Amino acid sequence: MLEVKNLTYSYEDGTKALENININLKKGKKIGIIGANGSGKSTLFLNMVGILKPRRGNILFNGESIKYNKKYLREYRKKVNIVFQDPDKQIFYSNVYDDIAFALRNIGYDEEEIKSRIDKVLKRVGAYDFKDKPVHFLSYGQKKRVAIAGILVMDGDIILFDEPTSGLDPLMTREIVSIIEDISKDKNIIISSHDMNLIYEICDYIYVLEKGKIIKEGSVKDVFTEEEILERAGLEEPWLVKIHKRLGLPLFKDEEEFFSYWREKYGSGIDWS
Amino acid sequence: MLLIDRYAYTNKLKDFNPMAKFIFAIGALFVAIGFNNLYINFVIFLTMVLLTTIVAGIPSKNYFKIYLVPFLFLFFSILTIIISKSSEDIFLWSFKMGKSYFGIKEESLTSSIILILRVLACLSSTFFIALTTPINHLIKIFKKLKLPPTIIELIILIYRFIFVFLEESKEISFAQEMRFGYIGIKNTYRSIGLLMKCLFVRVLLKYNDMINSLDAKLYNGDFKIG
Repeated sequence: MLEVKNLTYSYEDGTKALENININLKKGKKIGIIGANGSGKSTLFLNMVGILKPRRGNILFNGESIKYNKKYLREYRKKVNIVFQDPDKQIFYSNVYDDIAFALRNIGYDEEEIKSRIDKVLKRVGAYDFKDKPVHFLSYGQKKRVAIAGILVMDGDIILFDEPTSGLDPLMTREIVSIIEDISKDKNIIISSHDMNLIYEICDYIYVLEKGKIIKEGSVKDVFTEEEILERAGLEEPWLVKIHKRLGLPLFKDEEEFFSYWREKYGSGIDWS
Repeated sequence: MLLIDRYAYTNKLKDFNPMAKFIFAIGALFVAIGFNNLYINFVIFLTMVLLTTIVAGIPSKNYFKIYLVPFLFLFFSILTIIISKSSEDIFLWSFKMGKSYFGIKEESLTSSIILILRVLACLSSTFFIALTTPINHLIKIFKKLKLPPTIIELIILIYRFIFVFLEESKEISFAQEMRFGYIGIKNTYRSIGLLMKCLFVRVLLKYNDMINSLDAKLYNGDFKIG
């Protein structure tokens, strides 16, 4: 299990990007890290996968502090990996299959194993239908699936998603969300985002990041009902929280819950005539 | 972000009259090349180092790190100048290989020292201007000096694209590293090839985007500055 302990990270010229960060993955299965642009979310993720090395503090993996040598990091990244924000920057081939195979070929799996893993993963992210299309013919959302597949194929334990739905249309957002929900059934996930509705629906434990510091952590309900904290972090309440607070309705976890409550109470349709 | 650039925007001399800084540094550069005097060059070097580290407040550790790359070149050039070959032992220090001697002559030693100091004086003057003056101030100076607009345009665009390029290459290589692209020599070669391909494609795309946005902003062939 992954734990971030008293992590401080500063740039070469000494400006602090992250200060005394504590994160424990035991707190939830689907952890959300929320904060405005430039609050340090991506830097934190790069620290967590060992690309950046903290100035102070540790990343603990299964109770041991991670080491920064090649051999250790290779094993570590088989278990803990990251899906970056922009799919165009993580797809290197013009062929979907070769691209997803990239990581496995690098660590020397045999082609048979690679094929069976890729087929499985393509179906899981719903990319099987366009697996033979060249990448530059794919839509942004389709590329996003390929990017996720490229990481998922390693079958690690923990996957970090950096802004997984930014730039996606509503339909694609829904689909990526359901892929993430599906992945979270057998893996721990961490999502960074400033889309409050998304985090509210998916995650079960939240950290709020502001200017490189964690200003609040807690369960979804604890965090999202603290309006001042969200305001301070440059964020806003999810709409379900808004209707809960302003209209006095119960706090619903997702849209569906709200709709069925409404239906039960007021019937299914409104007579507009 | 580039460290040099960050310092240029944050150092203590950043608001000091840019023209004065520019004339001072370029003047020193000309003196260093023109007079080529050992002592003058040493004084220039010392002044520039003190001005950049103490007055402008750039950490000396990082300051001297910037010298590493040019020093590598300097080292190899000096090596070829300082070591000469002769059939007799006329050297300060030498070793014999076959019938000839290889070693260091007194005059090549002095000329190397002069060369090193000249290089140091020139480098430190250039670094002074690079580390203490933001690019926008430099561009204003170039305009005052009536540099051709095309050159200024090029400077602005190249400067902008250096960062686009660096940012992109950093992100792509991070993504490769996370998928074990740099394990062993074979993978590394392949990943570097892929990185170059991706960068090329992405830079062309950015170029297209730029043309579109220039069109949208009514660009008509000349780049207006300040």
